[in-house]
Amino acid sequence: MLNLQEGAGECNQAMAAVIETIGLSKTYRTGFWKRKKGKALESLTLSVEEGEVFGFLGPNGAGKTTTLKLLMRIIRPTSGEASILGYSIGHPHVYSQVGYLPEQPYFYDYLTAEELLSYLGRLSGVPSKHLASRVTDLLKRAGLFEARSLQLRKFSKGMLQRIGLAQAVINDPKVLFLDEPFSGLDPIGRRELREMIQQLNRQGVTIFFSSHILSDLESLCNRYAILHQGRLLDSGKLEEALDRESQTIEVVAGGVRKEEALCLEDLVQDMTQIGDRVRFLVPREAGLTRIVETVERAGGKILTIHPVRPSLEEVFFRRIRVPSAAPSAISSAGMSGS
Amino acid sequence: MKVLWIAGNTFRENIRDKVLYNLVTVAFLLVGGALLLGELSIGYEMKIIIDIGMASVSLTGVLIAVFIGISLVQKEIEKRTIYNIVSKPVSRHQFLLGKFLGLLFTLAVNVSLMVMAIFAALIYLNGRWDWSFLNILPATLLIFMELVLVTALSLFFSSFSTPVLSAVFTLSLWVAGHFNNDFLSFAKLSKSPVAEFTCRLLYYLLPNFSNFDSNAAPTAIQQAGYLQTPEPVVLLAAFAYGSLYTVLLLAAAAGIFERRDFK
Amino acid sequence: MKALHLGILAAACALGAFQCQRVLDSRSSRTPKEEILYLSDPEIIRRASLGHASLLADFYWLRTIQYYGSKDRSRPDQQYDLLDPLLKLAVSLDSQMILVYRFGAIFLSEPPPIGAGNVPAALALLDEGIRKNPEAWVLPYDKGFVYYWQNKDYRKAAEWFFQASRYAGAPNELALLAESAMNRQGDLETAQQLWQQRYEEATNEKVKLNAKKNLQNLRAHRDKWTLEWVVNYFVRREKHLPASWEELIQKGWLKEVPMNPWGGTYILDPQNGSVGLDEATAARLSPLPDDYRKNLWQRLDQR
Repeated sequence: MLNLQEGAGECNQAMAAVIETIGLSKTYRTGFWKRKKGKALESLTLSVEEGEVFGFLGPNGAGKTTTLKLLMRIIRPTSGEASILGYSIGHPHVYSQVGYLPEQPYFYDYLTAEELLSYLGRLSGVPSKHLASRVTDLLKRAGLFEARSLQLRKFSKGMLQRIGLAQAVINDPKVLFLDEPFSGLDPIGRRELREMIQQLNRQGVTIFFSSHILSDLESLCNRYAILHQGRLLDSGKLEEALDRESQTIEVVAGGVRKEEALCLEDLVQDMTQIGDRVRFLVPREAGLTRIVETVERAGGKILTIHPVRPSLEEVFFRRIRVPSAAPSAISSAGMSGS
Repeated sequence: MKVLWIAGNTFRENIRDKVLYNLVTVAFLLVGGALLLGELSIGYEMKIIIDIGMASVSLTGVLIAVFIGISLVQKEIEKRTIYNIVSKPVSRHQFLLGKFLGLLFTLAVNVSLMVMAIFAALIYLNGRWDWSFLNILPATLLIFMELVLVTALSLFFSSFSTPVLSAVFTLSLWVAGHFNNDFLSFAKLSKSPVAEFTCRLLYYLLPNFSNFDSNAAPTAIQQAGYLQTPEPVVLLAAFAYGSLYTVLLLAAAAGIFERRDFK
Repeated sequence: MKALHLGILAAACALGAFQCQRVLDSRSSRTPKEEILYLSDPEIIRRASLGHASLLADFYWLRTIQYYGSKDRSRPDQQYDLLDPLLKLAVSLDSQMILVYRFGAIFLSEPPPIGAGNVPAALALLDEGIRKNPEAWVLPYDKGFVYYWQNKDYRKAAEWFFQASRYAGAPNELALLAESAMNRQGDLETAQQLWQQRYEEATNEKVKLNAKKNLQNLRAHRDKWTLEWVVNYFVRREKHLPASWEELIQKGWLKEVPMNPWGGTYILDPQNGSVGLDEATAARLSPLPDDYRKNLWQRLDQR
């Protein structure tokens, strides 16, 4: 879908789709006789390419976790197909190259951190001879080496999130799925996680993560998809989308005074004097010719012209058609972060 | 191999689970009580020890098999720990089999420890080791086979039902399975062909736990109180029966489990 | 593994398990050689029932029926060792089960191979029932029946029939029955009347069948003895043995010779004048005390 939208089908052929879903749907049946149907996900078609950090956003209940669970075989699709690294998700061996951090991960609380990592490492197919060093390395990187012999029941939420991430990467995955990885983390933890994701991505790991905290996505991902009520509303490259969505242009001129440009008041949205410069905010549809002429007539110079990008939050609210001021499903953390 | 790791982790969980220790304690208490009883009675001390001991092995084993068995998979789903397993290169069949084998290993350890306790009690009473004590082993093996089947039943029911209902189903079948022979005698007595067919069907359909009764031949209790070894053919057939029924239940559980959503 | 594979595996296992069960069933060692009742103290069973004594009573009643039903009644030496303890267990767990007392009284008292031939046990069971169920007239009536039929103690039988007749709701005929039991010792008609009543009121199939068999036996004896009496009378008058039934019929001694109750014929032995049954049905005749014959002949002589 993304490829088609961008009209770049043939030149992107070399780029392999790491994650691909075609018409993936999940319908839950509820009620005593399982007659009531609830659509958790409706015909999701998307592809994620190698090396991307793919942000999957949407309000709570939009179907983000459902999608991840479908991809991780935790639930079975009602219809549709999905593949990871070119293999259908029905092949268990694909998952030796996949890492997954569930939402609010919970692990066997009777195990110690070290035991959990070696157990899950074995199940992930890490060769026995590398396992011990890999576990130690990960414990150190997650800052849990001191707590390695502590049973997980004594772990804090943040520690659980870190051990969760450590187990997700134990097999050096090519693709990493993270479900709401930022929730429950303090600011320091969030920054650490951002850095870690960026580092993994630099090493070539494709990352697919869901979040409702838009600021996290904006600073990390290069592709995004918006999901709302089980439907895919929009997806694309983040940069392009933000540019495309820009509705105002910022023009900064030097050597002019605000008073000299008052004749432009009907055209511009805003005019501000900053030192010897004036900053004009112009709606996109209005031409810039009059501004340029006016400035030049006054003996000034145009210094910069660039579109004012909306925040991802604005894009998001436009997509789901909820006024940004109104209370919505988006968490307050998401609001304040942008 | 992954099946064994899952089994190993299940065993570790069981061992760190306090419920198991409680059941073992109950069993040791029973054997201790048996010692006391042995002191009081005249003549049949060893028989009483063996009887109470074997009953403890069977009863605690069944309790473990049912109550741990129904939660084997349920607990992983409920606590969402299963997310981290099925998202690894492990098939659901492997997971199910691993959990099953893990509990079997726990049960084997449990049964072995209790048999040791019985031996200790027998040595205490007899004053020395006697090789004839080993005659209780075939009966123990039959009990273990029974426990294997009970575990498979719990796993089967818990693959589609709630824990409470699974426990009820399993325990009911266990009790009914011991009275299974009555269906056959009802069938023989019955005059209506429909009733006879139904009785026969039930007889062959329900797990026949009386196959594993070592005291199905009550005359076998010898003077010293040792259980007589069952005929090899009977032992073998009972084992084959238990194993085949177990595989049948596991296959059914795997089929159901494969299609399940984990919340 | 595909669902199909699992299905095939499951089917193969089911078949295998079935075969194993057949092997196990075929081993005689799997069925106890000697019948043993593991628990025989009702008090222990009552406590073990955790408040469901009545349910356990039903269970033991079913066991009793099964036990009785499992016996091969064509073997003359058939034993019913467990019948008494099973019955006792059932009624001590639930003393209101009148049918159990009645069933027990019949099959404990009947001689082998039909029953255990244990009259004292039958009487003790009935005594227990009478004590626990002072409103049930059938129990003293059954006791009278046992005295009458098995013990041939007609005085005792009359006493108990009379006792039963005084219960509220007891049929009026009981008093008459008591009288006739007193007067007519070893009387075929009274016996027939007793069994007939039992036959008509029986709800339990085994009880009904037993009554029917006894009625057939009584009829066969009556016919046989009547025919013998006619032959004897013929000999006394004609001073020689009749050659055949035809001779007796031709000379007006008999109107006809009936079929026996099992569809066979009565056969006259021309050598000694004794009457028997044909080969096919002879085995079904079980002996009755000679009192009955004497009484019958006495009555025929009086005519």
